Amino acid sequence: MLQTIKQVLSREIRRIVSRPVYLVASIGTMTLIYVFFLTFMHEGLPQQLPVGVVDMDNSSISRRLARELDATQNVQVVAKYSSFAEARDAMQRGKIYAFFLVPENCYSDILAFKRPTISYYINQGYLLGGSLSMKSMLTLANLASPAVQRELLRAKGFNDEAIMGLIQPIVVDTHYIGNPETNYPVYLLTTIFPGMLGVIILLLTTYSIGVEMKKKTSHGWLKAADHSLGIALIGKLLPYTILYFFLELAGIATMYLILGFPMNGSLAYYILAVLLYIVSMQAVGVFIVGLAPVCRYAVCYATLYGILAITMSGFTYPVDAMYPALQALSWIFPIRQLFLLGTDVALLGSGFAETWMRVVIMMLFILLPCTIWSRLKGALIYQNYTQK
Amino acid sequence: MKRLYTYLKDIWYTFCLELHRIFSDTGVLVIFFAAGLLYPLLYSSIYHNNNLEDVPVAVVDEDDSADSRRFINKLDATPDVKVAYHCVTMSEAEKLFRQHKVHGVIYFPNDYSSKLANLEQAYMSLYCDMSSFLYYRSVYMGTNFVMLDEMKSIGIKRYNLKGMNGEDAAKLVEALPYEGVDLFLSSQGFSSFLLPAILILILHQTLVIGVAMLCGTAYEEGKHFLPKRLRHRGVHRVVLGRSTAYLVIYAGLAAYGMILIPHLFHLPQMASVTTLFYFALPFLLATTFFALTIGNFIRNRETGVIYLAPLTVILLFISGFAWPQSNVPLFWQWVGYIFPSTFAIKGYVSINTMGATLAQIRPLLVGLWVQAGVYFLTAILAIKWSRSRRMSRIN
Repeated sequence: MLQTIKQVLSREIRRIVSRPVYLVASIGTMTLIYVFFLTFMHEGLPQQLPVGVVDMDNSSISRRLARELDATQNVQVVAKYSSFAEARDAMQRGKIYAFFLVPENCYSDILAFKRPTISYYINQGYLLGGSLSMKSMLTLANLASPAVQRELLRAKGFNDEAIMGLIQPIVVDTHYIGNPETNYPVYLLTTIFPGMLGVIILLLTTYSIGVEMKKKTSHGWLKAADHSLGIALIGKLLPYTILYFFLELAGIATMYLILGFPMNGSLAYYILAVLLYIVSMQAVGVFIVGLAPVCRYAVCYATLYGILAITMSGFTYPVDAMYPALQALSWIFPIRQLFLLGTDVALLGSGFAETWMRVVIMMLFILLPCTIWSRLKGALIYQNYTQK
Repeated sequence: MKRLYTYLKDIWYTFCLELHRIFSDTGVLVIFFAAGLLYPLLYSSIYHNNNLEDVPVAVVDEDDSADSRRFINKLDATPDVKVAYHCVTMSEAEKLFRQHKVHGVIYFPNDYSSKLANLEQAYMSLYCDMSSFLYYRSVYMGTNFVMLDEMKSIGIKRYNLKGMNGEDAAKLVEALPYEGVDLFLSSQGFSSFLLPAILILILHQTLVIGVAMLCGTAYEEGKHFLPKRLRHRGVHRVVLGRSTAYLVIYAGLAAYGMILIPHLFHLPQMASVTTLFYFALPFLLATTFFALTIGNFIRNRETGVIYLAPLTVILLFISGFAWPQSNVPLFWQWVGYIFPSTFAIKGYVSINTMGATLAQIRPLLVGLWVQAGVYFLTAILAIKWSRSRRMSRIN
């Protein structure tokens, strides 16, 4: 049996190197994705977002607000505008994410206890840029009143401790569980990398099997496997499994060892789970090509499923907030299980005891090809599906 | 006159030929229509819930005072957070957190109210679930808004104790009040934010992948060569004829994705139909010619899909949408200018979500028209190149 597997395996390796598509689509695409996202998000959290100021007061306090805003890490003041309309126009042109407006006579009104209102305007059309500049604006706005209070209280002769008790009676000590630096790429890359690899796995699995029918080489394939579909599949898919595993290891090493993404649990356990994910995605690929044993269709369906899988993992938008029907749909994607397992292991430090369910479900995906076994075998033997 | 007639007839001929090829190819129909019609529906339903409302949190209140209870009640009343569990110990809360039953824990130590009574600073703790940016955002924002509100009323009380009466104290606590305004998206919703970009990306990717499949198939079947009757005439009529076929189909799909879907799912629609037309025209032209240029280098039906589908996620980021444009590295900004989706996503979000005028997005429109022009020429050159390559091979 080992001999036959080896026979199929060497046949497949010859096929892999005979055409560029296999290696370019796997190694090439994953390298592009790694290089792209790692150079793209090298800052961690986006910093120095462009914001503006509408200063109608032009006093020491308005200039001070602008300076303090500029000094925060998240934003930088790139322009001053003379009117609201001008700032709004700049925002619509996409030049700034937010601006704040200091009304006329602000300084003299403060001194007269007339409580002038400063306003800030956020462009929520861009979630990340809007949210981050809003955080800075909010911090500034909340510091403005205390700053005025502090000046006035000092003038009245209060000591600093009493002043803090007056101007900030409650202190919230915030703990960011598992991601203390609130590093944004952690949310994205830990799922995008395996998700994109998943798309590639589906495409290449359906293609490498489908093309045997398309080019009518499936008889040679089965013959090399001694007419056993199981051996044929193992021999064919094994070289890819190893290739995908090393590609994913490169991503994991970069994220957790070089960039220092949080990993509170066992990295080895997570790596094993990733290997299981790779095999389960290959099984889904076999299932798709078994359902539609026509190369051109199988590749199309694989694309539609693979892109949807990344969204349905819930890494950008939580699955609990989706319609119940869509929540149920999330079960048909192995990446969903890997995402849940990954966040538990990495952020909460969970182990097998807490996450064994995820492992079992991913294993169930590996059984999927059994349901289309005879259909696929028939298609390989009779080549009876028109490949047009 | 006769030349114009033949010219138009040739375009008409390639147009019909291309339509026939599209409608006799189930795979392309799946990409154009199944993906083009179902994906917008599916994605709109996935992100239907504009706001992440009432994220469950657990409270551990060791103080159990009027002060801490007031804080908890206010927290429960916010739209962001729901107090789902009252726990006695932190380990109980931690267990719920690990089971994903809550996405945040708020802890009041037993000296919370006594410190407040002593006019000291009172400490409380917040534990945020960082497994999703949106959970973190809701729990953090909700707690902070309540804290600011509480600080105001406590501050006023403390000033009263120091002998400052009501109105003066209120003036001092809020010496410089502020108001925040969300321009363009009152709901701050996730769907109104993400969907417009996805709708454009679906149009772009289905068109490019579909055309690549057609080109790959034609090459495999040896039909990529110019139809016989057009052999010695200008290639541009082939490009024009084929593009018209795609444009006719995508005019319908664009109206569906850019007008009907936003209408059905109550997404922001600030642009008029005329504005959308002047925006969609260069977008579809640029995308079509871009697809035809790429298609010439695709030798197999499936390989086009295999190379192009994984690019989808990169295109979303490179457009400066999911990641702030100001923070896209310069190199990738230039790479982004290759793809029509980069200008189109920003343009569509600007006119439709933020109500920008065509004049305000002129640089983006110019970008799309330049792409349309350049890719029209490259499509012709690419066809000529592959024809001469093939001719030299035959000889």
